[in-house]
Amino acid sequence: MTAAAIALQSVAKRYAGGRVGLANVDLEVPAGSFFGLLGPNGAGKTTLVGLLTTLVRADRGSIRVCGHDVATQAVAAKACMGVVPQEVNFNSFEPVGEIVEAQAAYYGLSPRRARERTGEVLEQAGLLDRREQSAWGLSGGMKRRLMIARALVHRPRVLLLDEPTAGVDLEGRHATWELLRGLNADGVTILLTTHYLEEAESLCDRLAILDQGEIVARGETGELLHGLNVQTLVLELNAPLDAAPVLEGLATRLVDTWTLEIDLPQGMEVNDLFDRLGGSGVRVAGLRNKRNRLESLFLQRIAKRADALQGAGA
Amino acid sequence: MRLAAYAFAYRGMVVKQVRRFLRAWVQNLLPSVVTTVLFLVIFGHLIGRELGTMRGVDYADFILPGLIILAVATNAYSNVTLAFYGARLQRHIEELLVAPLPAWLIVAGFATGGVIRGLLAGALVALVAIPFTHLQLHHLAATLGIALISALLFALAGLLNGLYARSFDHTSVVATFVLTPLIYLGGLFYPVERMPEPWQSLAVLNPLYYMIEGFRYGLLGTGSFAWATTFWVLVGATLVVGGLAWALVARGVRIRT
Repeated sequence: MTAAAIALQSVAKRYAGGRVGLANVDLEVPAGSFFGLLGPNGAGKTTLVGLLTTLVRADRGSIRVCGHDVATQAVAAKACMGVVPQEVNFNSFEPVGEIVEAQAAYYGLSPRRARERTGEVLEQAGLLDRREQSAWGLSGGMKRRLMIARALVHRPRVLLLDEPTAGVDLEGRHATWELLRGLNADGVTILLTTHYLEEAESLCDRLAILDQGEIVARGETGELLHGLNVQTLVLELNAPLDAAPVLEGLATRLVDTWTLEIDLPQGMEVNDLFDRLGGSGVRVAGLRNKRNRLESLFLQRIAKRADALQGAGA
Repeated sequence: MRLAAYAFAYRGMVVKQVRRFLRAWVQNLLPSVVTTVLFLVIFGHLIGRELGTMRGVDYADFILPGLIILAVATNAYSNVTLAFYGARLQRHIEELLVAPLPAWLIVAGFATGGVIRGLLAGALVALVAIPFTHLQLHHLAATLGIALISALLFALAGLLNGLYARSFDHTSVVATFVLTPLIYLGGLFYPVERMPEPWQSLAVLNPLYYMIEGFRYGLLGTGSFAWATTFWVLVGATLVVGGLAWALVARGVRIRT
């Protein structure tokens, strides 16, 4: 059994005013995993990262990082973590190199080692040529990469990333993904919160979905996606249709005369679908998923919880 | 091992603080120098000539220790207030809070930055005063000891201000409405024994009075009481203010949710 790099037990946090941050959450992130934390705005993702970093204090429960309790062994727990926050939190008037070097010092690196590591992580982040420049002049994407470089300077065993690619262009996002994959391959445990579901699906081997402070789904990514009971396919037709074909046991919708949508239930193969479409005289030129599969899972679980809450309130 | 890590972290914090105030040295260091020159020219020479000597020294020489300690205290205070409030406002205080640093080290890092700026400003003021006064050094240990402990006390008090400030207005309220009156009523421009009652009795409660008198003794050899009294009063006040700053930072008041 793999040891947990991060373990939360019965953790709860309620903010002043009564808003629930987290409600009795249990969570384990195995060492070496790439863990995705998903959820709508206000679900509790940033609260969870805040609790791990001690920026937010839990009302109750136990939180351990690298085996250290963050409440009673905060120094040891924090020493093994690197943190990339959601919002820029460095002094923009300082030069890029000084920002990273200072952080290296805070983690106990000697001045010489701090300078060396700063060069290495800035190179990794593609910012080495900006070392002497003020952080003020960096683009949004560069600022995010600077925060990642800063978080890596002390070689953390656990990396926490709170929406690290928000607002980053496609090229920058892919560069960040490559960097994170490399780190994970080197054994760094990564906890990533993101709104980009394709990002989570592409990177994460494990996922949890948070909603209103509670975990509504968790598990290995493949296993969770396999559990989807339906996926919607969009078919581009070879010839126009006047009406959607009637196929027994399948929901079909005509989007326009050249496009057909079909909900494919779990267990049914696409080959079977094509056979039945062929039998109805429908010829298909192209096929794609209407939504990313994880997006479907996400929406399904959030909707299921909303229904449950509505039912409980009725 | 941990001790070495703390030493590097402390150095990192201090370097960051010093770089911060040196980046804007004209704004951070020159005002004290300009104010001192004006005080020495107008009060020390133009008005001071009419006043004659004070405790056996020229008036300009009499006010100089107070002006130096004023520069030390206000620079130490405002440096930490603005640095800490700025770090809260821009959220880069989080760089320290997520790092493996105990609260006492964070307090020490900010306070040292303030102490360095306070002592630098005091040294500059003493330097520019040379052409206008007969700068003396009667007791080296008293001078340095009181300057150092005063800078530390005010740096720690500045941290409390930076911790509780909700706007930039709040960062100057205490300095303007509390510190400045206390310094002026603490015998900077005249001996407290010449003040009318109740001001003379109230001066005993003013910590700035001890600071000015102690520092004046260090430079001129004249004072109302032994400099060691001043020193230990300031040490006591520093322990109280420092303890409070540590406790508040450790509890995360206004810096953690």
